[in-house]
Amino acid sequence: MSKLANFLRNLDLTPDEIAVRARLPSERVRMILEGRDANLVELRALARALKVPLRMFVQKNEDNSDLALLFRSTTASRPDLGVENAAAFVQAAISIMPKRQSPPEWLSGFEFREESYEEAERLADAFRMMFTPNRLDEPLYDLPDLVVNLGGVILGQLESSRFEGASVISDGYAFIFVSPRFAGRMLFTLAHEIGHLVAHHREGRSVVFDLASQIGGGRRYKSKSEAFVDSFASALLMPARGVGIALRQIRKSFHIQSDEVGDIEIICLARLFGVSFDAAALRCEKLGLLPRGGAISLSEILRRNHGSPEKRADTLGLPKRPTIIIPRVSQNLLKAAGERINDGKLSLGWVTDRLACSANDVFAARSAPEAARGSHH
Amino acid sequence: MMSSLRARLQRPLVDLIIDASSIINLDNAQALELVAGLSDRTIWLSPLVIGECKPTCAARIVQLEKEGLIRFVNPESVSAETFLSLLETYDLGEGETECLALSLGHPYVMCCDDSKARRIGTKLLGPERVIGSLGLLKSCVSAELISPKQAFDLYELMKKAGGFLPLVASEWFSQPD
Repeated sequence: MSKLANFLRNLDLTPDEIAVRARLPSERVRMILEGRDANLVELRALARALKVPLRMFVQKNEDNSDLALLFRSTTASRPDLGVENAAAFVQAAISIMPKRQSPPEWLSGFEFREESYEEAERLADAFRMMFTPNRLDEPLYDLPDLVVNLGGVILGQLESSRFEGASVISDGYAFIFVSPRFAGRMLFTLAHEIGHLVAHHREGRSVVFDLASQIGGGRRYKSKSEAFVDSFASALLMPARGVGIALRQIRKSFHIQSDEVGDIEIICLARLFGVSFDAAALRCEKLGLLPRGGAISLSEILRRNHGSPEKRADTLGLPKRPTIIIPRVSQNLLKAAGERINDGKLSLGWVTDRLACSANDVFAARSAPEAARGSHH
Repeated sequence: MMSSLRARLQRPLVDLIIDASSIINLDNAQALELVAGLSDRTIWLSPLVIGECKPTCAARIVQLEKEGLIRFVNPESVSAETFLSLLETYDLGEGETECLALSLGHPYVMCCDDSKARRIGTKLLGPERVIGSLGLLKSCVSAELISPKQAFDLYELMKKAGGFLPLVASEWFSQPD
């Protein structure tokens, strides 16, 4: 029997269901199931329909590895191409990067005690004290580079997935996956996943996948853990003193006399700290600058009256949000992959397929100046 | 000049399939049009290569295809079983595997700048059917489309952009194959 027929026969799907999903004639799918050879166009249609990479049709060992099974068990039974790709990414990265015996040393500098708001603030402050001691109150637009340069951290993007962020500890490396979205949202997701690394991941292998509703969700959290890491992310990106200093300057610049914090101040804070309006408003609420429920109310008013907080900001001519670059794949991994390609151990196509990046990303990492690479591992 | 022209006219037309690694290298040196101008080659690409390129490169490919200077292969001519067997056996990328599968079914010369894919291509197709973008630049020198110095400058642009290419000297481009 053909490899493809073998794979398809093991699915819990009828020929008609496969045909509908792949938009292929039922008769043709039946012929393929009986062992007739498909062509590459049909193969790609089937892979797309089944949400699996092409290599899944043949790579039994990789497919059933502990890591892939762990990823699938964490994300329940519904197929998710992003989860499969993230498992392949981690597996590929481990094979590319130098071996590590234990998770990044810097993680052991955090002593996690309990999932409380105060503890999230304390850990975020500790992170700032350890890694940005000279800019405790400033925005962290460079958080992607900063966290990679701490060592043992690899960033990737979570595409074609219902999940928005993920963090993984495996084989001594910490992996953070962020779904491609608006930059402010991605920065918050990154900080959220760092929160998981600091508080929830322990030795060995562990995986956390976060749905959009679990990140920056205000009071709609399904778990205490997610509320905790959101508080961490919020405090890390918008330190209390930094918010206070910025707010004073904003109010002075706009000659705002009112005692209450309004939409203009929050939009300015959001753009200054590189986060969304909702994230900035919730932070203000946590800091007691807005009444309880004020963040959601303000957000709803802006959406109703102006379309969105961003449109309101543009109408007022407020300063733009700075450019925040969250790479598809961190430079440390791309650089190591480039060395393996150069040695002829791996092919460029293998690397771009597994790391879900383009050949141009790999080329750019090789041509980037050494100083900008952040190639610690 | 006349002898070179005679040599060109005597050469058989070669079907050349170029993979993403070479296309990107050539584009980084703005040499796609130059190579497409080689009169003794018919250049073939997988439509998937477009997805690998920067938008400007993709636009150039589409334009060259419109002008009839390059052609797109038909992936329907690739057997899924052959493709999957190659993928499983050699552990290359999907694009590289597609190029190999196509070359097994048709006498293409495979142009690829990836060391591992070239090694496997040489094993399966023979060394005479595997070439790289530097080989194409050398052909452009032979065809008197550019000078060896110009070929070397293009090579340096490819290297500077991060291309995986061997170290060669300027003289290499004027040496016979």
